[in-house]
Amino acid sequence: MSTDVAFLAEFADGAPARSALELAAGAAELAGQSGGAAVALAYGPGADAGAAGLGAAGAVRAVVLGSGGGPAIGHAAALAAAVGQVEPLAVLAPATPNGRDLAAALVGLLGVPAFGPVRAVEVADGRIRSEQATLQGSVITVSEPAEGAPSPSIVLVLANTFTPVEGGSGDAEVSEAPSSDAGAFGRARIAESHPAEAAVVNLEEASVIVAGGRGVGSEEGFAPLQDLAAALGGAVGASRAAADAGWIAYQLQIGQTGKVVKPALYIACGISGAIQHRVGMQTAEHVVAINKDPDAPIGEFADLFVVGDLFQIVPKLTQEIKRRKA
Amino acid sequence: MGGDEAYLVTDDALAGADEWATARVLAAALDKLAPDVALMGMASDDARGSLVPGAVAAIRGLPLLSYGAELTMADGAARIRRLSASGFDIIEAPLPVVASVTDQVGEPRYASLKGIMAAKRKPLETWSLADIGLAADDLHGAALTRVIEARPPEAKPPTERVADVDADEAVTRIVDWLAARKLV
Repeated sequence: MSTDVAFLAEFADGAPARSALELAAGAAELAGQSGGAAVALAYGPGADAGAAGLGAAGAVRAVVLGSGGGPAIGHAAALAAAVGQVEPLAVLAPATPNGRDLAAALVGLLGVPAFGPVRAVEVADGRIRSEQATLQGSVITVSEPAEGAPSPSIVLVLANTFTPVEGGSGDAEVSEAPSSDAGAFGRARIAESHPAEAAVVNLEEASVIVAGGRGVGSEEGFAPLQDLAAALGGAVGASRAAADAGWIAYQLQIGQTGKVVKPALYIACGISGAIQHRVGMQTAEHVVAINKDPDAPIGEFADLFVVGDLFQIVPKLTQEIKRRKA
Repeated sequence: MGGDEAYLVTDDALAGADEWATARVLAAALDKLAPDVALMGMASDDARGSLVPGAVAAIRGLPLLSYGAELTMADGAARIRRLSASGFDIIEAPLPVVASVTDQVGEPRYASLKGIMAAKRKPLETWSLADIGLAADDLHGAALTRVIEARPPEAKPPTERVADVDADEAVTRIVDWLAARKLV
């Protein structure tokens, strides 16, 4: 085993995902503690050309797993082969569907321990020590590899846990993953691709989110939320009820079966705050809730709970924020 | 609810099983049953790692169809609808597969009285680790991870409540609150 810290770096359309830049910073931080190097494990369209550029984000080396499209899990065999070669202390994976699939494949293929999604992670006594919220946030646990557990430790990391390096420079030293047979994971293929008519923002990257729920009432009801989000430089999200009703794209659903977000500010409008929603946003730094129902569960965990009509409050809030900014 | 047979894997050696050990056990049990589709939820509500389906697929050497909002089978293949960055993809793999699905895949139906009565006569078999060909030593004490500390979350300040005010006053209070935290 080396003291290097590896991370998954997903590429799409020739550019690294935001998660790749965040994990590069995280891997560099942990590698500083372990005395090793941050190593990118890059995959997806554009990974071959773009991997060197991860040097500016904190990677010392980069191994390209593959640059094809198709399901990310198709890179699992190359990932396992690359991990066998690099022998890192840990592999950081984004807690996204693709990142979790690849992390799961490593756990199964290599028989290695998995941690997280973590809220903090460090290298202590030469091994990973992670801190995570479990049982719906009711308990904080600190974990490490069991005695004699093989390396690497696989660490799932939520978006906005690490901050990308700004103004970095330099290229990572790029190599190809050892050749491998894609195996069973390579048998899944994209049979059809249906892009949306309008581009959808990546909620996991937003530092301000204005989210709407059942109380928004309709697709048109989201318009004042869009205006508020624009005034704050943020993005609009939704609860499952609003996505199921067809008022907003499923990509914008926050919660147990949607996105897990960690913005600096979360404004919940007309969202009751069921546990399924809460698990998707409970790591937000500040939560403001606006709801007509004084007994809505969100009133128990929001930082600021405003009982009132969102259709009266939100447009005026947008005006006031614009006025103060001007 | 619709199940025809049930198998319960239970063994003292499984206490505190982590995701890896859980996947090893499910994979060994599935080796005996060899279904066309091993269908799993996308996450459990305790640790929320979402790792078990993919790890089972890796151990059994099967394709993984994950995060399906719809699941269909035809012509010896399974297909799922899965969200992509902006829209959705249909992902397909030849059977047998491991599939994980979201809560959009279906609504639980209410069990009928007739169904509840019929369920009592359905077979339930209990398996120990030995029954699925595993020994306690194979599972590294049921986990490759260990919890060294467990504590309650940090107490957060109580919710500030704004009620019984008009919209203008509510807006002033919200903006002041945001400004005090440098959020506007």
